[in-house]
Formats: sequence, C-alpha cells, structure tokens
Amino acid sequence: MNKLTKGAIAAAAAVILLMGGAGTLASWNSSANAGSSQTITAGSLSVTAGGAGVWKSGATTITPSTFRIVPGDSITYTQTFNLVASGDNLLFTLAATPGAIGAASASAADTALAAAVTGSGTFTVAGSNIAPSTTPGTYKVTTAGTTVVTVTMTVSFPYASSNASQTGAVTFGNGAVTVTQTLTP
Amino acid sequence: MTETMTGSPAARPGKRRNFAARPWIRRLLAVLRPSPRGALGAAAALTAGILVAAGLAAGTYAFLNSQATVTSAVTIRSGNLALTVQYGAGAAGPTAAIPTTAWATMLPGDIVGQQFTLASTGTAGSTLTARLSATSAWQIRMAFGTCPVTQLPGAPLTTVAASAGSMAGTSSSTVCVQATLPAGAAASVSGTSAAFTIIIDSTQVPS
Repeated sequence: MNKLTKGAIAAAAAVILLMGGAGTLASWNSSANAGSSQTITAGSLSVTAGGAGVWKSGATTITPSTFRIVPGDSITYTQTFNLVASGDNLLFTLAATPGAIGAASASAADTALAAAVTGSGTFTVAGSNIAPSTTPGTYKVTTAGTTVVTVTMTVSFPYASSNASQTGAVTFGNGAVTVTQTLTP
Repeated sequence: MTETMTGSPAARPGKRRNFAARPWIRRLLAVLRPSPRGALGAAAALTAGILVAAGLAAGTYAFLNSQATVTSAVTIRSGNLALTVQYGAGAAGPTAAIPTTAWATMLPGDIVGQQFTLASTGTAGSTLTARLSATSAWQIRMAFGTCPVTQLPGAPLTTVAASAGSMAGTSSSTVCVQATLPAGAAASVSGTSAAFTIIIDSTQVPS
C-alpha cells in the first residue's frame, strides 16, 4: 500500500469520527414530545361452543339414532355459542352453515332419502352487546362483551315424498358458525 | 478483438496480472452468472414461496374472523308405512283370503260377517280408504271392531274409494267385513256366487 492510499484512508476515518458526535454539527436542531405516551389495545372477535346441543322434533327431545323421520317432519338441532366481540369500529358478519347431507350408503332407499331431505341453518342473538348494522347479516359492537348466539340446524323431510325413501338413512354432518370482520357497515 | 489481445497480460508483461482473466476463473464466473431465463425462474419461484408461506400462516389475515363447529353430525333414518291383513290363523301379509264357505247359502235378507286383523307395521300413522274391485248383488260393508249381529251402519262399499278411518303406526285392529244379500234381491241371483276383493289403501299423514 503506497503512502497516497494510506493517507486517503486516514482522512476518511477522521471524517467518520467527526460525524459521530452530534453536538459537533454545525446546524441548529431541537425536538419536543408530541402528546403523552398511550397504550393502544386491539379488539377481538371469536366464537366458541357454549355446550352440547339437543335434537328435537317439534317440542319433543329426540334421540336421532332411534328416531324415524317421515315425510312432513322437521327435526332441529339447537346449540348455543359464546360470541366475544370488542372493537369500537368492529363490524362483522355472522353466519350459520348447516351440515352436509349425504346418503349413508349407495342403496336406493338411502339415495332417495338423501335427495328428499334438506338442511338449513339459522341463528338468534341474545342480549344487547351487538346490534344489526345497515347491511343484513352484518353486526356492530355496542358494548364489548360476550353474546350468546343460539344456532339451529333444521333437517326437513317434505310431505308427499316418494315411497322409495322409506327405511333410508342419511348422514348429517357438523355445521359451522362463522364470524368474519367486514368493512361494509 | 485486437484491443483485447493488446490488453492481455502477455502483451503488457509489466503490469499486474489480471486474475479474472485466468481461464479457470472465467469458467467459474460463467457458471455462476445467471442467464436471463434463469433469473426470471428464480424470481418466480421466490414469489411463489412467499405467497405460499403467507397463505399458510393464519396470523397474516388482514381481518378478524373465527369459526366454531356445530356438533350436529348424526345419521338420520326414515320410517316406513305398511299394512298387513290376517284372517284367522293365517299368516299376516299384503293379502288374505276369506274362505267362500263363510258366505255360502245366503238367502235374501241374510247378513254374514267375517273378521280379520288389519295391522300397520310401519312407523307412520295413516288414513285409510276402502273400495271394492267390483260390485255385485251382495252389499259389502267394512268397519273397525267385531262384527255385530245387525247390519253395519253406513253405505256399502263401491268401486270408489271411501274413507275407512285411520291407524297409528305400529298398531293393529280387528276389522269386520259384512256381506248382505238384500231382501229385495232379484230371483236371478239365486244359485249364483260372486267373488269380491276389498282394497284398503293407507296414506301417511304428517306427524
């Protein structure tokens, strides 16, 4: 390394060392705190099962494994859920999706019964922690807390269904209750 | 081409040697240098990797959401609807025959009844209708219960279905079939016979 190179390196190091001391800047500067420190907390949105549900035919509790559905029947499964929602500007949709219906086997009776029965899901909201927003199916938070949502799954067997559906069997799957944040009021 | 040869170490032996110009280094650099197509492929792969990673991480959703399972999974079975008839000690089934001897030698004004068991073997309740396959000089009546010594009330059966009561699922009842040879039967009926069939239909009713 020749002397010229060594000199250049030394000069650069000197400049860097001088820049390290802020007080040595030639320009004036100042700072002030804008407001006081705050803690910002995020909201939440969750739904959990509140307990086991119950199957009913009309007002009568039934055991699905021994119940025999006939045309004209509608049986329901009702289960409660705890919805926890907080957030001053939180908007969300609430939906209940019924379980899937499928023939228990490939037999003609099972297939005919599966084609005849239908499933649907509805829900009701208790309390005043949440309230419907402008868009149908959309809710807003009025008071942070837990809201009990009662979900009802209905299996309907239309009257005047064909004889082919006698002694058939269908499977009804698990449903779902879903809450999803939205920006649309 | 000429300038390149001029700048080579061999042409300027007094200068520092250009190590990059060594053949093995040039070959190494050629291997390491990506082609344009290779660079695009690498970028696409990197982008896909980032998207996949973002999709797999649930915490990267930009909105709040939650889902819970409605534990409604069951197997639902349908019931059925079926009727059987049984006469005396005979087997229950979809048909039952009443011996002709029960109705033999009837005279005008005679009333002869026979009983059979009607059973609903299905799970569904039903309403019943009854009709005859064909009419004859005899009047045929049908009613639930044991046969009375007198004529059953109501109009005789015809070939048009008429209401005949109802039955609950999985139940059985005694039914009376009564044949009457009217007192005013024509003389031409004397010495004749007529077979009749009662057809009982059941229709499921909503529970």
